[in-house]
Amino acid sequence: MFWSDDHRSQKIGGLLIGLLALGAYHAWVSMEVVFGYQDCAAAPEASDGVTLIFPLWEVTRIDGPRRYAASKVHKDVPIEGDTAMLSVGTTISIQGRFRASDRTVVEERREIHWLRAWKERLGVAGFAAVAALAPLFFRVRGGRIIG
Amino acid sequence: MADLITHTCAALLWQSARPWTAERRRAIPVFVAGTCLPDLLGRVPAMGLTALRWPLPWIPEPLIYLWNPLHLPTGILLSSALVSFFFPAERRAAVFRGLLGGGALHLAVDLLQSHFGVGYLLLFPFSLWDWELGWIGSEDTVRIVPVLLPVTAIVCWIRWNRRENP
Repeated sequence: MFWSDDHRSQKIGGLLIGLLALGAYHAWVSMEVVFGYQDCAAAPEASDGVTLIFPLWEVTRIDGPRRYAASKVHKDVPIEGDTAMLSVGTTISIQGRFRASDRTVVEERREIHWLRAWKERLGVAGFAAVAALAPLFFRVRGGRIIG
Repeated sequence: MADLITHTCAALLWQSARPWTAERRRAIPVFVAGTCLPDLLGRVPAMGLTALRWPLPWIPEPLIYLWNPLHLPTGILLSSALVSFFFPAERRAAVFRGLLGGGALHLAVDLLQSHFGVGYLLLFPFSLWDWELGWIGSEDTVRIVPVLLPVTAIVCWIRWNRRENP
């Protein structure tokens, strides 16, 4: 029986290895298969005109009416686009083309996530509620979760 | 992803569709936990590491992406099985079914959303094909929660009282 206590440690170990392999493969795909800003910056001439997508990045600097920087996994990626609606801390998703001459992303499509801050507050509230209520429904006894 | 309040409400409403028998009442917390696990395991560590990487740039980038499969079907399947092994043997199969069901509901709710760029890699690691329904925006749950929360409370209250006085 798979769910019995027989070889429980080996089963847990096998599942952990499976999850780790899954995570490692996803990390490899994200780093090596998906083309990102770092790849463009590393080989700018070969990447001129490449389309890049930045989902849910944060505006971290406004440099002028047509220039700003956004950050998420990488800090301060230079972007050319209208900054009239932006301020530092605004969450945006953009699609743009890499320009080799100044290693800047020229914005083509943008979505401003006006409600992102509220969603994050909701996320924190949900997390706090789950953390506070979990002990009412689950306890640990003898190394096992009792629910 | 939707927030944990939306997911918990969706789980409780789903469970309220049928009478709360003694067996079901015992299974509900596990099902709710199943709807929360994909975000707790797959999103929270990645978000925390992303935020930490600004002041601590030596954090390796792959470490941020490592967690994402825990929010995808294959990762939910494996993590549900893993968590089940921390419950007593006689309940493990039922706990696994509950966690997996909760995880499936979590994905169903998240698939309603529309994301800029890539959707959900539902067949990962076998394919990088992505998909989502795109019926609501990724922040629309902020508008939905003020309605969803009291509706869920009322439905659960009715269901609880029916249990008390069948």
